[in-house]
Amino acid sequence: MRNSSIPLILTDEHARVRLPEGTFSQPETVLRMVEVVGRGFFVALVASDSFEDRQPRTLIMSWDSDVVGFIESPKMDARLLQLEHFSATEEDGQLRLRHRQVLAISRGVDTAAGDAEVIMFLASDGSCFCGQEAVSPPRSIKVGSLIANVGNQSGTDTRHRQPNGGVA
Amino acid sequence: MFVSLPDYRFHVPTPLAAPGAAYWRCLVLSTTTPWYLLTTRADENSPADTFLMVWDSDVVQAIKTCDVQVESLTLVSRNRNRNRWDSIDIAEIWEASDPEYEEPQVLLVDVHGAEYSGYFMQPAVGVQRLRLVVKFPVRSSGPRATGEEH
Repeated sequence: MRNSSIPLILTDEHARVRLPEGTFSQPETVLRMVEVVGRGFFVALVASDSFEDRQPRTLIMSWDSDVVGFIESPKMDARLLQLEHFSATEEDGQLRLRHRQVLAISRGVDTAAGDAEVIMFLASDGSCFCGQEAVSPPRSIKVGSLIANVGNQSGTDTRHRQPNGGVA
Repeated sequence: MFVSLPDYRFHVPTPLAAPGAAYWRCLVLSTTTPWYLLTTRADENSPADTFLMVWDSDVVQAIKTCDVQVESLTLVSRNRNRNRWDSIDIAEIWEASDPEYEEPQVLLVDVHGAEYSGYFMQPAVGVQRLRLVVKFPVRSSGPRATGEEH
């Protein structure tokens, strides 16, 4: 399964790095290369008081719900210092990796899909995207509450930005 | 390096999984040194494959040994002053030499002509180009890096 509609991160045994036992407290797998399966992925720079060394950590995430999970989990209580979304897109017949800087995350519902919950990401280029395919939100989506603004407090407008680019 | 988080493993039935592969929803990056996003595809009608790598030598090795179209390379570099990652679109990859080091070097040239090399992919000084590994088609690109003001 290398081409999947489910966004995931694939690791191969051949890319594994063998480290001395005890390097990590748990039996983690350490790799020098991974492959992204699906249309896109997130790179998050995260701060949390739950981190032992209090240093920000970089997470590679496939699912939008996990991004929100890190923020809303009482155990993690994470703050997003930076959130980037990468996706392979084709423009003028040429493939490129599009990267978008996320400024805010909101929760909404899709009224055309039984009010299913949707997570929306507002990017610095004014675009808004949602779903595993990182598509533009359809008109049937009703915007709900702000989940988080992204960025250092000193450098980011913490007012509620709307997915249409406005500021509440 | 990329470090797994056991709680975020996604179990794919063995018949569906690629041989020797494991699947994850989330990984941790354990380094603050630059890393790389290499996009390839088997042919013009195939979907993109994106690889995340932590060593520049792996990028060159992959390009030289894989029978695929290499579409793009993005250098992701830590901006320590602003405590964030910057994404830099690369236009050319060169095998290179540096008089200060015995080991072969990798030289990256971004879409604006700036050169980077070394463990921290600093602006290259005195690095000599030896062999062109790949040159990507030049786009009328936007910002130099996602983290820069413009």
